[in-house]
Amino acid sequence: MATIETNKHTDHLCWSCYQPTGGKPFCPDCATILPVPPQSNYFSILGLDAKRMSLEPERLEEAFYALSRQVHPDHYQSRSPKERQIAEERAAVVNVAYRTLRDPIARTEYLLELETSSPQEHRDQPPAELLSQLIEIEEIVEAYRGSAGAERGALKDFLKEVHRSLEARREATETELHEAFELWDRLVAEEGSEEAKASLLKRLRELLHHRSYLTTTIRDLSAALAGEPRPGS
Amino acid sequence: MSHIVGIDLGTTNSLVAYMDGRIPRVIVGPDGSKLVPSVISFEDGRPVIGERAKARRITRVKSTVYSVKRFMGKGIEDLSSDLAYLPFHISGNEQEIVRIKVAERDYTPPELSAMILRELKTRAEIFFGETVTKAVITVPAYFNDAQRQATKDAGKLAGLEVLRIVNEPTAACLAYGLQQRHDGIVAVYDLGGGTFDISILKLKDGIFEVLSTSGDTMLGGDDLDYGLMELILNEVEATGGQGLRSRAEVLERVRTAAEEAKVALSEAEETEIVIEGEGLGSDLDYRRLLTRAEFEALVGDLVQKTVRPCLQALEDARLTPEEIDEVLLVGCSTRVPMVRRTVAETFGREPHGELNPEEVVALGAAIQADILAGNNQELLLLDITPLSLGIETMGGVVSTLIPRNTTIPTRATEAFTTFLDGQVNVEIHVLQGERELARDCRSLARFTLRGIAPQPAGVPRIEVTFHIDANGILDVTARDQRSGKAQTIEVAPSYGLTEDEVERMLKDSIEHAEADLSTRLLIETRSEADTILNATARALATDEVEIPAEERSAIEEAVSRLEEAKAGLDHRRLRDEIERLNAATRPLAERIMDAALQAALKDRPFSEILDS
Repeated sequence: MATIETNKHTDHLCWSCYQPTGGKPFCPDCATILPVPPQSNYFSILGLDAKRMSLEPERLEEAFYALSRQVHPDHYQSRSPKERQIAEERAAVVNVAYRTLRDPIARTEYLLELETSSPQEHRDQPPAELLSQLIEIEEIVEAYRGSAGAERGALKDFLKEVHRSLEARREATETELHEAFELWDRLVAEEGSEEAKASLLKRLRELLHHRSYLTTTIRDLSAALAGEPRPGS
Repeated sequence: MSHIVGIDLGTTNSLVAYMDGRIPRVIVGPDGSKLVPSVISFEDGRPVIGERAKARRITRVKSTVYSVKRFMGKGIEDLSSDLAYLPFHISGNEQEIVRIKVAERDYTPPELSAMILRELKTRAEIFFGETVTKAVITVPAYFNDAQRQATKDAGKLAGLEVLRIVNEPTAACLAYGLQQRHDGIVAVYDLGGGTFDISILKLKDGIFEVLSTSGDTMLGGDDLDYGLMELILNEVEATGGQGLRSRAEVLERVRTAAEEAKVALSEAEETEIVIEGEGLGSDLDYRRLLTRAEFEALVGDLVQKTVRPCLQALEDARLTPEEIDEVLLVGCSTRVPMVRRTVAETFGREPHGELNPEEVVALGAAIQADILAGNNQELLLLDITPLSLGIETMGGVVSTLIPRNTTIPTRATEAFTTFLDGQVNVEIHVLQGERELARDCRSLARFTLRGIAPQPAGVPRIEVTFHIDANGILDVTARDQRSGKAQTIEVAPSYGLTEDEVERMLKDSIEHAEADLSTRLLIETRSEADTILNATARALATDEVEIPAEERSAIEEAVSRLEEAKAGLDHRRLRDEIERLNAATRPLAERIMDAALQAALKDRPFSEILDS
């Protein structure tokens, strides 16, 4: 869900004193807690720059803690039922926003959701080279599961090596992801062209895609090496 | 302002605590103890709770019940391991609330827990000298929605507004953090009488953020007892004892002996178990020396079962054992040396054992109550939901909406539609658990969306919001996306009471009203007793009049009888003793009055006295 659903009649006036609110969490006039406005997104909820992708975990945590102190329902216990309910809803949205944005992968997925109307339509294939490599590895994993004796030992050593190199590749996609984040933030700040943005979003989607193929293979591989059955079977 | 108390409703013992300024304290009962055994016994149809009930476990097996917490939010199909060792008669259908027969009547677990809560409420009311209506109650972190809801229902039945359900390890950490005041990562290992929790928290500037939690709500001291009971029962049977397992009295004696041996072995290397033949329905006594090594061999697998959840919690928090700054031990079962050793091995460090593991949860609950009362803006708990929440989709597969370890409150929205033309109802099956198939997860409730306008299949769009509140309890709302109108939802809770049932129980509960009245009377009578005790003390100290030794000793006896009655909970007896002291002091009071009058007359002119 790209935007957060709230009551329709929250508008931009304070529900308590009817003064304009400017989309803030608290009324600038009477300091009453306000419902989450429609059309807000996780970035604005956490008080961050619009769609900023390079986020330092420590800064994000600080923002989350500070907001939690302001809106957590624990601090609204002696208030009116309406204020309690708004706090409960606002805190829930803050929690979901933090959970989404602190994880680079979930954050990327969220950006893609915000920027692309129907994310389901873009189902890119991974590059043929990666795909064929992964299929080959899965075949060796299967052979290992059925192997015994000296052959098993040799296969195990080989698969351990493969495991290490796949982990390295996955880490590389993370580095690439962070580089793409910085590029994105520059594009937004400098009001770059729509084409440049679209091509960067495409790149982000590809990276997520590669990563998820790698993750599946690594999981199968780890399970096989630990002597466990194939995950999910 | 009225007091909000913190309650630790335990499997074995319960406690109630409050804030004395900035310091949390456990309320000491009239009998001088802090722990109230979570045992209920019926005497002439009235429930008695605590030590007195515990003493009746063997002599009044059919009228006494305990370990009720293990039954909260459970179905009959969950309880097979307990039923072999607990002498209770339990009934109920699958996926429905269970009923426990005590003193020839069926009670649901929330009703029985409510009796314990009412006892704690009364304790607090006597302590404060005023009524208490609001409480924070703790539950194991790994409790699911049904178990939390059952606890909340119990509070309501006890006449308490439950302001918050708090997780026990989190509460313990709060008490620890208040005392230590330094930041870091803390693991709380909580092995109680019936449940096991592990929680990992990050403490920073007064924020207590729970990072992950795991556990087992059917693993605790009771299970260690069962292991030892099995050994004793087998040995008695080997020497010819027959039909022991079906005799409630025998099970109770064996259980008590097992429990005592377990406790003794926490200090000693060996202990002797003795059960007199009479208790076993045999001519021979059961006698055996049990070493700690033997005990550990019996319960080793159970203790080892706590390791996997610890590793899971570490993995979920993305931490290694080296990154944990402190390990806290909570719960009575952490007194077992083998448990401490296992914790030390798992986390690679000695656990922190300075806090009283039996009191720390109640103290934390009192701190949370203080936060809710608005008295403490510095501290804030950010707790999580322990289990993933999902809905059943086609083919019985669970689609996760809210993953485990998500900070609460939280919410997720899902759109539903119809599969048939003209369909007007949609059923949503909500589950909790980590497995992929609905049949392997815990059924929470079935929600039926009613009154959908008849349309072709797939056209209606009903948006359903799943909100988990700060208590970890689910609330579901729905609205028609086209009309924006709220959609009616009918809830059928699995394993729980419906709202109507709770209301009916409240109304039906005559004892409830009676208990409240007797508490009020007790409070008033106690304050009256204090007045007369003070006056008597002053009178006995006077030198205005002579007090013959015989009279003095009679008054002193009446005073001590009244003080004794004051320590009890029976307002009628208290009233009688007040009358007795009144009668004993009347002649003395009259003489003092006379003396005072004479003194007044002596110094003043006659006319002045007439005028006044």
